[in-house]
Order: sequence, then C-alpha cells, then structure tokens
Amino acid sequence: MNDAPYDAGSRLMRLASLALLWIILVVILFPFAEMISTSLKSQPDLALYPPVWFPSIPQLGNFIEVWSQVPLATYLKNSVIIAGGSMVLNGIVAIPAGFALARFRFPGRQSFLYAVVATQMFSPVVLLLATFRMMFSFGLLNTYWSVIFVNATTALPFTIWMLTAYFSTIPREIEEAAILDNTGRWRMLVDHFVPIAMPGIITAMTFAFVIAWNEFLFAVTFITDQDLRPLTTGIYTFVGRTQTLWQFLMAASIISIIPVFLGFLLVQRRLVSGLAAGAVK
Amino acid sequence: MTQTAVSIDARPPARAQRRRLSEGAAAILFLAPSTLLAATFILYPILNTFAMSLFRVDQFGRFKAFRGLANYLGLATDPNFTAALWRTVVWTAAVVIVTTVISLFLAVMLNGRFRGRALARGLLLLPWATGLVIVGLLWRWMAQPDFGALGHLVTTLHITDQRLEWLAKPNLAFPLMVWIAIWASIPPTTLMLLAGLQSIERDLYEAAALDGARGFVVFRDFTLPLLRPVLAVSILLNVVFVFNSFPIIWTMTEGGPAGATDTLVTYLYKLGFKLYNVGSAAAVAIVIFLILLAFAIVHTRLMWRNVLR
Amino acid sequence: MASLSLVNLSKAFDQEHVVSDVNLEVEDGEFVVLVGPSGCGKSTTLRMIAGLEQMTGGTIRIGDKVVNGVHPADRNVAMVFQSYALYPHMSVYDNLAYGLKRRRMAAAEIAKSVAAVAQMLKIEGLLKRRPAQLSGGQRQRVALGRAIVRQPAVFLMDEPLSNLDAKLRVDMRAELARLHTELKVTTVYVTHDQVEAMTMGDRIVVMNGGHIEQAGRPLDLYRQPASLFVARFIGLPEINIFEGAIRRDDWRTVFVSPDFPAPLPLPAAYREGPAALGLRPQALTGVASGMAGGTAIGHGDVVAIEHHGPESFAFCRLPSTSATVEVAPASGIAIGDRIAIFADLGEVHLFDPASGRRLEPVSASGGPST
Repeated sequence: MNDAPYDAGSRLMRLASLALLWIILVVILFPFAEMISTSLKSQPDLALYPPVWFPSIPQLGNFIEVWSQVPLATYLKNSVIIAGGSMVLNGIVAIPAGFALARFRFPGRQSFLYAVVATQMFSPVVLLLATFRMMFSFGLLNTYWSVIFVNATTALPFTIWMLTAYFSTIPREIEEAAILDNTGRWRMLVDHFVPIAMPGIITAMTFAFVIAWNEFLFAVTFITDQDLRPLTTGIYTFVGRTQTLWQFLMAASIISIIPVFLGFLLVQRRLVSGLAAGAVK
Repeated sequence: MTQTAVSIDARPPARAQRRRLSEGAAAILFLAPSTLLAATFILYPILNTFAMSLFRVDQFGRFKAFRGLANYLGLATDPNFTAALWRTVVWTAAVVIVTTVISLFLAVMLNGRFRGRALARGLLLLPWATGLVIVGLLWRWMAQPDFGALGHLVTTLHITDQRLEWLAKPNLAFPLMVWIAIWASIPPTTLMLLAGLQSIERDLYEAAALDGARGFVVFRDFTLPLLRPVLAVSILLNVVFVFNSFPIIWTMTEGGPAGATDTLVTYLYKLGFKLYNVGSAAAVAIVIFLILLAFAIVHTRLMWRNVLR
Repeated sequence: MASLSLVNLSKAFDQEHVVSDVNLEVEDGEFVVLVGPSGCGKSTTLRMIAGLEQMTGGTIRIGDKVVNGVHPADRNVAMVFQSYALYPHMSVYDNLAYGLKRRRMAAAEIAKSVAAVAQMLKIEGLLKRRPAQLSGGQRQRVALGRAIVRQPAVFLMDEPLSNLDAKLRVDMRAELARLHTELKVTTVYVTHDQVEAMTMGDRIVVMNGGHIEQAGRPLDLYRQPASLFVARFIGLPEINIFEGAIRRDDWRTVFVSPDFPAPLPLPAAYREGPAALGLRPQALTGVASGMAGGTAIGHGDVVAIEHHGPESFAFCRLPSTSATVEVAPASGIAIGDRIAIFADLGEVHLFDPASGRRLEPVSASGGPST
C-alpha cells in the first residue's frame, strides 16, 4: 500500500484541504448524531421544536423497551439466519468459481469473466416480479430460503470478482510446488489457496453478509410471516402505524447497525486492499 | 557420521498414474454451482421477465393473452412512464457525478498522511454499514416538517423561515433524495478510489516531485490517468446501482406525491404489485436493462480497452 | 535415481523459439549445471523436464520411460524453486511431509522420513516453525528437504542460491556438493553464475538464445571453448578478444591485427582468413618497464586497475580495443601508465568472427607444423 508522500504544496492549501475534509466528514456524520440523539428521547421530547441535541433526561430505557415494542429479538435472529445463510451459500459457490477463474486456463474463461461483470447490471429489483413468481411456484415464499437464494445470488458478481483477484495474487511457484507434490485441484484449493487467501475470503464474505443484512425489498416482498421477518422489514413496521415511534425506530436501527459496523471496522484495512485487488487487476 | 539419509522402506509407494481431469472439465465442475445459482435466479428470471413483457399477466403470474409489443407501446404513450424515465436519468447523472467528484477529493485526502486519518476512514464506513432502509427512514425523520432537524438546520442557517414540507413537495423531495443518495454512495466510492490510489507506486510521486510537478499538476498528469481504470469501474457500478436504487425513494415518498418522484424502479414496483399490471411492469424491467446495457457498452468503449486479463 | 535424456527438445511461443533443439544425456547420479545469461532458455528447459512447461517438440526420458505428456507429479522429479515456494501457512514439518501425505504414505513412515531428512539438513529444531519465522538460509534448507524427502529419480534446482547473500551462498554450495555425494541423485541445476557452474557441476551446459553452446566438463570448457560465447562466458575476468586475420607465410602462421604492431606467431597452422583471437587475462602480463615471460605483443595505456588480492588486473587501452592484463600486485602500476604487454601465445584461442565457432588447426600441407 502506497501512501502519497508528504506533498510539498503550500501550507495554506493543505490546511484548507484538511478543513474541507473534516467539514465533509461532519456533514456525512451529522445524521448519525441525530439518530443517536433521537433514540434517547422520550415521546414528548420528540415534539420539541426547535429540536434539542440532548434531551433533558436521556431515555436509555428506550433501548430496553424497543425489544418489547416489536419482536426485535425475533427480527434479529432472522437477520442473522438470513444473512448468515446467504453468506455461506455464496461462499460455497463463489470460492471454487473464483479459484477456477484465477488459476485455470480454459476456453471461455474471458467470456465467463465478462458474464460475471454483466450480471452486476441486473439489479435483482428489476427481476422482482419474475423471482416472485418463481418462489411462488417453488413453494418457497415465506421461507428463509427464498431470500437466502436471492441474496447469495445478488452478491455473487462482487464476491466472485474479489475472490478471483485474491486468488490471482498467490505466487505461481507455490502452486507448482504443490503440483509436484501430487496435489489435485480440489486439494489445491482446500489445502493451500483457501488458507493462504483467508483474509481476502473473509473480506468477500463480509461483503456478502452485509449485503444480505441490509436487504429490504426482497425480504418485504417474499416474507409476510412476522416470525420470519428480518430487521430491515421489522424496522420498517415502525412506520405506517398511526403514529411513528421515532425514538424506538432509531434505537432499533442503532441495534441493527452495530454488528455490521463492528464487522466493517475489523475488515476495513482488508477491504481497501481487496477493492484494490479487484479494481486494478 | 550421518547415516545415509532416508531408509529405502520409506520411499513413497509407487502407484499407478492416477486419472486426472482435463483443465476444461475441472473448470466446468468448479464453475457449475455458481453458474447454476446465477442461471436459476438471474438468467431464468430475465427470460421470464422478457416473456412476461409480451403478455398480459395477472397478479398470480398466469399468462393471459399475447400482446406482443403492445405493453411497450403502452409505456411509450404513458406520461407517467416517460416522466419517470426522464427523472431516473437526471437522478442517476446527478448522484453519480457529484458522488464521484466528492469521493475523489476524499480519497486523495485520505491517501495522504494526517492525524486522525484512521478515525476518518473508520467513520466513513458508517453510512455504508447502515443499509439504505434505515438511511431512508432516518432522513424521513429529519425531514419531518414540524419536528425534523432538517427544517431546524435550514432556519439556523438563515436560508428560510418557512415550514417546509420536504416530502410533500416534489421540488423539495427530489433534490433531497438526490442528496441522500449521494450521501450514501460516497463511502463505498471513496473506499474504492482510495484502494486504487493506494496501488499507485510511491516512486512515481517522488519522481514527479523531482521533476518539479506539485499539487494539482501531479494529480492531473499522474494520478488521474493511473486511476482511470478504477474510476471507470466505479462509475459503471454506481450508474447501475443508482439507476436501480429503490429503498431510498420508497421509504421516503413511495414515489409520491402521486408519482411525482417516481423513478423507473418505483414505477415498476407499483405497476407490478399495486396495479397488478404485471406485463407492463415486466416491460419496464426490460427497458431498464436495455438502457443500462447500452450505457455499459458505450462506457466500456470510451474508457477502457483491456481491464480483464 | 535414473538417467535423464533430452532429445531435440524445443519450446516455442507462437513463432518465437525460446528453446530449440536441445540434446542432452545425463547419466544416473550425475550433477549437470545449465548455465547462461537471462533468457537463454535454461529455466524453461528445467521446467519442461519437470512438466510444468509444455514442450513444443522433442522427447524427454527419465530412466527408460518417455515422460512427454506425463503429469509432473507422476514423473518422479522434485524441484527446488528460486523463491523456495514453501507453503507459508504450514509448519516446516508439514511442508516436508505434504508431498508424502499426498502420496498416501503412512503417517509413521512419514515421520521417520521427515526426521531423517531434518537431521541430514540440520533443521530438526525448526520443525514446528512457519516459513515466515525462518532466515533465508533456513528456508533454503527446508526447500531442499522437501525435495529430498520424496526420494525422486531426478532433482531439479532452479537458481536455488540466488537469493542468499554471498557468504551463505559459498557455504550452501559446499553443502549441496556434500549432499550430492551422499545421496547420488541425478541433478539438473540451473544458474546464471558461472562460478557456481564451474565449481559444482560434473558437467556444465552453456546455453545461449535457446540452444546449447557447449556441454562438457568445466575445465574442458575453460580450456577449449567451442565458441566465442562460451569463451566469454566462462572465466573471470572475461577473456580478451582481438579482431584481425590469420595469414600464412611459407613457414609460419601469424595473426595480424590493428592492436598489435607486429604479427603474432601462432602455435599451429590455421586456414587464412578473418579471425578473432582470444587470450585470457591470466595469459597476459603487463609490466611498466623491462621484460616478462612470453612474447611481447605491444603496449597499452592503463585506464583502470582491479586488485583481487593474490593477483591484480589492469584494463588498458590498445589501438583499436581494450584488454585486461594481469599485473604484479606490488608493481605500483597506476592509471595513466603505459605498460608493455607480454603474452603466452601457447594459450591462444581462435574463432571465426562470423559464426563464433572455434577454429581448428589444419595440418600444414607438406611442411613441418610449427
């Protein structure tokens, strides 16, 4: 990773740029401050205008109460199952594919890579109708499987792309040494490539997990059973009542964000280099 | 005296040469699962959608009558459709252009060293980790006319004193949603561009500095050209993603009031799931695909010859 | 342990040949070094023997078996890579054991073999460590061990010492020689370093531009280089080459050149014609004044001096070229001096300037040969 060396530009320019940077960051983070602030308000606090940053009595209890306002625990569980399942399914199919695209020579390899890129163009949103029909005829509506399949597929172009890039960076000589050691292709993947590329795999799988975790449209269309709904749809149910309980909505949202954000922080450095590998290669 | 290395007994057993798969056959095996998944959940629905667009289809998905291109023609004469189409183009262009510019600046800044850089990078992840539904709802709260922070902000900055109905007025709602989409797109775009910047060899900057190039000149003559492939990918992905973006608009206005903030995707959803005009909705989907395909072809030709080895 | 036979081996990318018409017979237990400049095809040849590179033409035999098209793992060869290619995610023990495991050897047997090899290479204490925790020399030994433990018919080594520092390289050369004596496995060793080649090989094969220039025992190549290329490649400092022509009088053969004021008498009779004459620096003596052994051949102006310790060499400018000449270390000769050069003309090598090939003496027709 190469950072730009100290720029000999004028000091004023540097300060101005830095200032601009922090301003932009503040602007970007402002809504989150609002989110936290709102989650700590009581019902009457919400109606205050002009709105205050800090309520007189922060209602930390909101974070407890939200669990009973809606079946948040159930939603959380469902999100974990759906996102986890999507990630696992995606991994199972994408890892061998990335390996083959990175290390095998075969006619049609280029075409396949182009096809992978091309599928990114089809937003699943656009295919909602047809997919709905399909799930209906498979009898998968209102099950975890319907969204798991769709989410795993949605993330597929990204993860295959990233995994292909990661697997390509493993030195050829290690593969050759293993070939001479009588390593078959599947063993090559399992014994060598997966362990060596593990950071990259984790990054790609985090991607797949987050995409599934935040997915809304398919979840809301395919799953109507309250017991099976994930967080995204669950949070949405706060709206559309006669009165929106914003403080709980915010609290639930924060609860939903935390695992993802923590996960992101963990892989953040990897994420940057992973995107580099995928984008520049 | 070291004894002769390895005893003869320990020689690995001689086995008949084992049968090995050809590269092509192995490729098929390794690619089969993902191909199957994609074929089932992408390819088949695409073909299905195309088929549906040629029929009148009821809400249970049963094909009723062959209509050929009638669905498409119906769209062409549908003012809601053409309005949504135009709006989507504006939406996409505005979001992608502004996002790219801001992200480029951020990426360059985050590529250099300064105190708190790790913090800045970490915080930048927050909007991305949030998910578009929560983003939409959050902004919806802030846009609340009576209690929302947005109105308060605008008053504090002395822009206006009026009570603004952000989401009820399309002239306010649409720009606001554009801003929100930009806000949500900046983190991943910045990180992608940052990754591209990080892969530029440091030596290049040092050589350029010795040659007398500084600041903006370095950026224009060195960084930008080298960043081109990454920029190209980023723009393409953003265009596709933003064009198809659903949650933000849906959670904020549901395309309203009265379809005044509809994009093609929200219109599609309404046609299919509210009006049960499934055939026309499918036609919209195909139109979206064709537009994006055309864009991708033109874009690839313009920006990039060989990115895939 | 087996012999190795390369017949008409060639490799081409599209139309470009990187290896053409390589013929080589390696005896069982022999240590053969492939040496040459970058791009000469030596590594490609090695990799074709291993099966890691597809050959375009020719036949490779290991033992009696033709191995064309045979999978690398079935050829019973082991390779030591320049970068060692150790499995970074496995311990040293697992690195050594992996090939045996893949060949379905029993765990107890594997343990015995690994222990024996570790002891041979003195890496017993490292078995639990990972490659990243090892020094360069230790990694090199593990790479060697990985090859040895499989007891293959042929060892292939691709510049295994290049990544080591000079001192370590010298130590490892001796170590490799010792192992070879002990194990007696047929070995093909690739290097670009002629010193390594000269000191390690039973036979060396000098390659250039994809074909073999000359193959034979090291001293044979030194004393009788078959071409200009080999003459230049082998021997430190590099041989001096003078352009000129061979002339024959009634009773003697001489070499004339703008570099020498007088024709040089040659020790044998050669055909007349343009020629390149080679004299190693060790066959030339430079003195500031007085005489030295050999024939006086001219004068040169010193432009640089190298002191190697037991000997010193002066680079001098001659009328149309420059030459490296041995001088006495204590002579005090310095840059700018003009020195007289004496040559041992019994050590000349003559080459055809067009083809580069060595010129052989012809029997002087009817007359006594000089």
